[in-house]
Amino acid sequence: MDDSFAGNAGIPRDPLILSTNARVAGVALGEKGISSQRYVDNAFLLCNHVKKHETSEESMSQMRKDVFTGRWVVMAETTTGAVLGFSFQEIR
Amino acid sequence: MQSSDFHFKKFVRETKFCPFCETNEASTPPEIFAIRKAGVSPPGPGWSVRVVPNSAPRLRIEGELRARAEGFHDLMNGVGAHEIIAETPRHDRSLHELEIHEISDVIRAYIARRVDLKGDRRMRYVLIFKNHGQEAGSHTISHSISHLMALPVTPRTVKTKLITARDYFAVKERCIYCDVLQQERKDGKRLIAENEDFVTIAPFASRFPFEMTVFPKAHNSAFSCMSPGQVENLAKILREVLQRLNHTLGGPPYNLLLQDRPFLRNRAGYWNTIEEDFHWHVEILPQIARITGFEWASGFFYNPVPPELAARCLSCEVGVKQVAAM
Repeated sequence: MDDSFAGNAGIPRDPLILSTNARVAGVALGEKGISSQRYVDNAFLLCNHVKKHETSEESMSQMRKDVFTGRWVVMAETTTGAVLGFSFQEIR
Repeated sequence: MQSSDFHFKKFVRETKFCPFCETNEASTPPEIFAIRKAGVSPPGPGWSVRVVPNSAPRLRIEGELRARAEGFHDLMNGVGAHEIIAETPRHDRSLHELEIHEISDVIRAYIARRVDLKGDRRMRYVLIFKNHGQEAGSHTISHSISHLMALPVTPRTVKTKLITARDYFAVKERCIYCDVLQQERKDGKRLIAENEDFVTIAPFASRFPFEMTVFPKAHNSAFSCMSPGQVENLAKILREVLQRLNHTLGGPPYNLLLQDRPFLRNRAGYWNTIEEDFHWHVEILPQIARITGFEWASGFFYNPVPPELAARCLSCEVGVKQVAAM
């Protein structure tokens, strides 16, 4: 089993990885005859927490398509002041 | 966004001998066009804008195209025009530091040269662009200049836009640019500046941080069809947004590109709605982010500054310090 399900430490913050890992871990534990439901539940709870608080639409990066050319642009997340402020101050 | 997303050197003006300065006219190839004070005759001083052939042209005006095949490949001779437009006789000023009437003269020179080159049946498209600063491609010249290149083919970038506009018009009988502009002006999130005839927005899918596009408000497919009043208003809005860019980022390098329609020639397979479906515009692309393997490999771009945020900075709605505190 992936150690990330043992507790908060080391848990991937990407919800896709989290949810995939949770499912895989659940199946693996089930095969070993160990009840995996608790781990899966915890993982999904965490997954939802991450989705809700850290990867909401406002803070996720976006892929935007230019209507005139069909060109895709990956747009950075509209993110926190601290990082943003540092970059702006640096380029000044 | 990471601090490493930005990388540029502030524009520094070199002071060595410059062939584009007033009184150095003899150091350039013979003049093609100039706007001079009344009573002053060429080729000496007394000009506000001066156009000369590039002394190291990428394409040459002499010769025939001789379009031909080499196996599966298409080939033609490097025929075209490559001209340099000296925007000011003074070495110590950039485009955004010129007076409105001086920038208007630069625009008039663009128009005059485009109209003249239309007579050359070998040419299909006139590219007008500006490289400001080293990262934007101005390696040796720090005098404020623009490039004009007449090409025997329409560039693919422009053709993609033309085809998209044509297809949209075929379905909706409206100009796609007019529709997008109407939406952007109504929404206001990416609006940067506006005057009687022009509007500047940060494009929804901006490729570069602080990218801007200047559009005429009224539908117009050809840059050279502007009225004198529109020329002046274009000069005003260009000066304004370039000054804001300079103020916001502290002298960044940038490219300025005119996206105009091709010369309308009677050719097989060419559509006849270009005047109705295309809408000319000017793109301003600050060169402050690195182009990496991701961009080359995918054709995508990565932009660390969302255009909504760029518009807020460039529209003076919020200062850089306020943005930093957000």
